[in-house]
Amino acid sequence: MFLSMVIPGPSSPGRNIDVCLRPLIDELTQLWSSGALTYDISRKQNFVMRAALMWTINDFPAYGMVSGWSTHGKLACPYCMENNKAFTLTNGGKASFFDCHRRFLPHNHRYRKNRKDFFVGRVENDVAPPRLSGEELFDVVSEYGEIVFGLQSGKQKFPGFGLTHNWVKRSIFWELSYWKTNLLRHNLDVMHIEKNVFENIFNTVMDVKGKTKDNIKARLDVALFCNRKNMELVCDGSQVAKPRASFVLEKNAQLLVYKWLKSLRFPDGHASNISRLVNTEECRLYGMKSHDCHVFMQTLIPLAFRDLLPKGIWDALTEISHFFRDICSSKLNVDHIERLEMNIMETIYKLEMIFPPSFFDSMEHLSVHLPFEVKVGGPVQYRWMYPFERLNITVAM
Amino acid sequence: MHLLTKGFMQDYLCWYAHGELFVPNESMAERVVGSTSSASNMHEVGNENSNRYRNMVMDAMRMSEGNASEFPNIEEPNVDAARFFDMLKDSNEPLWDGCTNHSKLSAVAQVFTIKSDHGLSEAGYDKIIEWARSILPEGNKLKENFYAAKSMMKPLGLGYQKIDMCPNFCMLYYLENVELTECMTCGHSRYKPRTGRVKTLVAYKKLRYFPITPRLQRLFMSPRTAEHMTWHQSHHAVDGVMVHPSDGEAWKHFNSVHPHFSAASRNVHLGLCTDGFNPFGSFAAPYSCWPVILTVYNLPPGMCMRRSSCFYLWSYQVRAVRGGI
Repeated sequence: MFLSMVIPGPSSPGRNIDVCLRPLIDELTQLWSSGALTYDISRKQNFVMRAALMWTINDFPAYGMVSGWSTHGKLACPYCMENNKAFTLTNGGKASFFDCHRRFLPHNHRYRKNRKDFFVGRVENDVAPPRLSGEELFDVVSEYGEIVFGLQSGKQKFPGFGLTHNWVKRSIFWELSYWKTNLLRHNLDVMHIEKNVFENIFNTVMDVKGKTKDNIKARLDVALFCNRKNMELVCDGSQVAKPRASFVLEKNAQLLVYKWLKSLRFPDGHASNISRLVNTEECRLYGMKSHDCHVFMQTLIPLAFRDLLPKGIWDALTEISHFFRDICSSKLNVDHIERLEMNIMETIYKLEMIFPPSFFDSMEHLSVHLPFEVKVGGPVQYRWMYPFERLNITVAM
Repeated sequence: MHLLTKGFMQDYLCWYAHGELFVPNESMAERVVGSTSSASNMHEVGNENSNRYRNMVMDAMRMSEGNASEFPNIEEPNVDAARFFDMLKDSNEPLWDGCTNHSKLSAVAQVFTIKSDHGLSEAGYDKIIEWARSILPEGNKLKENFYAAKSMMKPLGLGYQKIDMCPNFCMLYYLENVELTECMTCGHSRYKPRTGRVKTLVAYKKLRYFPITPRLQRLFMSPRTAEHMTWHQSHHAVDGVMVHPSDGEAWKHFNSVHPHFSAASRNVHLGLCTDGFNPFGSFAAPYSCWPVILTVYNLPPGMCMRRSSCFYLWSYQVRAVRGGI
């Protein structure tokens, strides 16, 4: 790993990052076409070294900046693209990826006809969205013109933006002649996805005030989109009551979990001292780092909620915990990954039957595409942001 | 308390109880001879964190060693590489007459590491050097201050370019636009207005670009990494098991589409990462600085996500950014 560029602030370059990447892309093009004469000390020979860029690694907001497909709103998913069935929640006001996954099922699967547990009254007849190849994407992107970078770049919208596509620019990476032949051009960052999924699960189950996805607005949306009578708000005269959902722990059960966390001891170097982050009086966790979320997600979730949550819910949470553990392993079996691809779908259906639509933001949806990236790109540890984030920490200190 | 009362263990120079490898303290020439077995090389890599910058410089010095006999067609280094190796040799004179374990270069490299690791100021650096020179024998060749040390390091390469840019991210003042003083898109001035008697022109925003070709070339010029640069092709992959990106579909597909590229195993496969972060810490004013980092996937698993020694420059740069530009 070495540094190639520092783009100064004070604001993020946003989609104008292409302007800054120009020298790098020029050099990469040159290294691809003509190469550079290099001396190899191990064989004592001169040779012409050439170089190719395999892929980029970014967190999700930066993914949009680099790839040119905006990662905001309903069309955030760069794999499903415009074929996604995400919708904006009437009360929550945010994009929800609830019930976007039944289309991945085989045609005669029983879930497809289920009108009760998913989007109320919806029968899924669509097939899975096609995964466009690099060449096809390049053709699509080429149809849109160039944009002028700078202050005005945000205001130039291609026709149909946000409705039929989410393209904001033709990324500078398409200038690399081999870029369209790459199977995996941009990586979804497993580190951030795992962290966000964990935070959503934990905050919702532990009913953390202000963080839980199961708030009043979510309940209003449940009444609109789902058939879950026991989760709807109860009006009692002038007062509105929010009945406790089955996936939320009772107060004393929450306290049990926090006390258990307080007493936890880990082997040296396994994780930070999580017991130090627990505030049992306020029932909160403070200062969880991404890696703490990683450890919690993969090892502690099944243990923490065992016997406290109903069996079905615990099963679903354990499955997603195992999914992340399997996908992060440093040695991967190809057959195993194909099984993972099926299993994560099943897990998502289970979660969709349990949690309200507001729970399913883009991060939960993206985990569906992770097995594909693993299959194509190899183990996660070479394609996630931990090493890069660590580097930034040491620098910022 | 024990430290206070009993003092520090004498002769505990190599911290073997704290993970440092025990290296017999022999002459430097022997110490820098590259061991060619990959196992011991991996060991060195594991130990390199403590002194990254020194390793970066010293690696290159091992060029005269190595086992060339297995490869029949030995060539002389090309002109650029030869110039670099000559320069290294020049600065490889002992720190003082009779010094066996430090050269002019290794000493400076080591202090540079300390400076960048602990955020030492330039004045602090100079003071320490002043003190170090006073305890070294007469006639030592330790560079007297940071400026002199930097001038000595500069010809060794791996520098960077400062490219002015429009503060609104419209354009770079680069190649054919290098002479312009106003942005072509938004008309924003390139330089800050001069105040007082300041004569130099100061740009509003500067992009720091670290050319990648010399860095990749350096990977092949250092025995520590050169022999590992073909690992992606030489390692034995078990069918159906993935341990490295080179076992993945994308890599294999790329190689099949570009056979002329994959034919030479020394060609480099790169990954690019970019991420915003606040160099002033999370509680300071919002500021987002975007490093662009490249990864070389040719290297074996233990090495490929490891930060290279070139990173000394990085922390140095961030301090420059903090300085206000």
